[in-house]
Amino acid sequence: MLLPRLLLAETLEKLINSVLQLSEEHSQLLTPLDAKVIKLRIDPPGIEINLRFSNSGVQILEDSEHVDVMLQGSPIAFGLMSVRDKPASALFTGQINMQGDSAVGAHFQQLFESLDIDWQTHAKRLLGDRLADKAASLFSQGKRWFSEAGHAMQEDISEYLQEESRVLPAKPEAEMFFEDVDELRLDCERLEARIKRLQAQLQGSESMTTD
Amino acid sequence: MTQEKYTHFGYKQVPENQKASMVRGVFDSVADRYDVMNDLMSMGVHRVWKRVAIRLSNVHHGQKVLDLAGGTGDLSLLFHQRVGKTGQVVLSDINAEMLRHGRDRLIDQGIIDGIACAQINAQFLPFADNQFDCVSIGFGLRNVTDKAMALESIYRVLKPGGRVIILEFSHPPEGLFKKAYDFYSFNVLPKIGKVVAQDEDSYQYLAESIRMHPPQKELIEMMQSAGFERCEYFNLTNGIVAIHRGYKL
Repeated sequence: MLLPRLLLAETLEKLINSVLQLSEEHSQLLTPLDAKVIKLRIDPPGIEINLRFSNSGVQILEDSEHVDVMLQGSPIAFGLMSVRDKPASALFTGQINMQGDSAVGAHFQQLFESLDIDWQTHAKRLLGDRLADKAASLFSQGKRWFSEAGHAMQEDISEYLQEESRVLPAKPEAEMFFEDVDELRLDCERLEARIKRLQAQLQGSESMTTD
Repeated sequence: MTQEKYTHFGYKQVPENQKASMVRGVFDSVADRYDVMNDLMSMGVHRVWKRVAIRLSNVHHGQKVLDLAGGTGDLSLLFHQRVGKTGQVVLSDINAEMLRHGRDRLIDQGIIDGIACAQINAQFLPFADNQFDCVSIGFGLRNVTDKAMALESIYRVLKPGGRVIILEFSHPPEGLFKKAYDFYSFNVLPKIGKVVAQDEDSYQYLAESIRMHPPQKELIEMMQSAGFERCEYFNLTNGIVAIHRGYKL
């Protein structure tokens, strides 16, 4: 397994650096992480990746005696972190666990956040103006269609569940139900307090008669 | 009267003080066609072996690397990419002709900064103690007259935490594969050498010197005797080549 693992590391390293190079500000973005080592533990399947940063890029190390910060999470959690507008939210929701220097971890997440790649310009270099514009237009249309379709589907599903099948209550109904539950809870608490007070009074009068 | 010490040169026994010059003769003879021969003999796989060695070296930006028996500079070039502008690589070889080819190749590729060239005998490294993060010796240790001395010298110049990477032909396990490999080494390899490098003897020596090189576990013991710790080896292509790694802790 040594050879595939090492060759995979080399390919991954090239891929990461190629993506970083696409951003004109990559050197600036990497400066706060210069000479820092971040260990990513992807669990499952239990893979560890040591990323060592410098101004010019990222190197994947076979092992590292010094690690500044370790981020642990599932492949899905790391995937979502890389595409989210606010990658730090993955930490707060507990999807990714961080150990070590939190400042380094924060810079690493900012790297995802700040990486502004002009994909269209790079696509033009590879494909030419016409093809790149066509691809960008198709991508934009596709994104819009998915967004609209997703929104419409969400509305249709909630309408079906709430209005037609009545499996779930409508929002005002649910709110009224929660208010009733709150009121009931408060009544119970009041009743419990009253019973406790009466019990205390009863115990007090009993002790006076025995004296 | 002192008794002359002998060592092996392929299957022959030669006086110890003559081996270095005999090895030099071999590499002087093949230096011009060395890279072509490597590609032909290994069917290009030597490039993968070297890349794996670089990965196992764990070298990163800003580090100092000594590439012993660096020859035409394959490993030095890869190390140079890893250590970047802030690092330093010393390309060295005992053979001036090989080193000249390596240096010319670097200059042709526009690499002037970051790699220094030095004609060095691995047994007597002309560096102060604790200088390098990594010392590599690629396909060179088997030609060294006194391997134990070379390993001790490497240990001395390594920084604490530094590692040695020994990339060398080794010994596949007994079986059909080994028989095929032996047939290739002793019958095909010298013929390729004869046709391409006009030198059959040098490639006969190559095949013999590989058989005389210590097997994987014996080399681990030699590394441990020199002071290295956490020693391990990685067989490549079913043990035709092995990469040994050890740390100075």
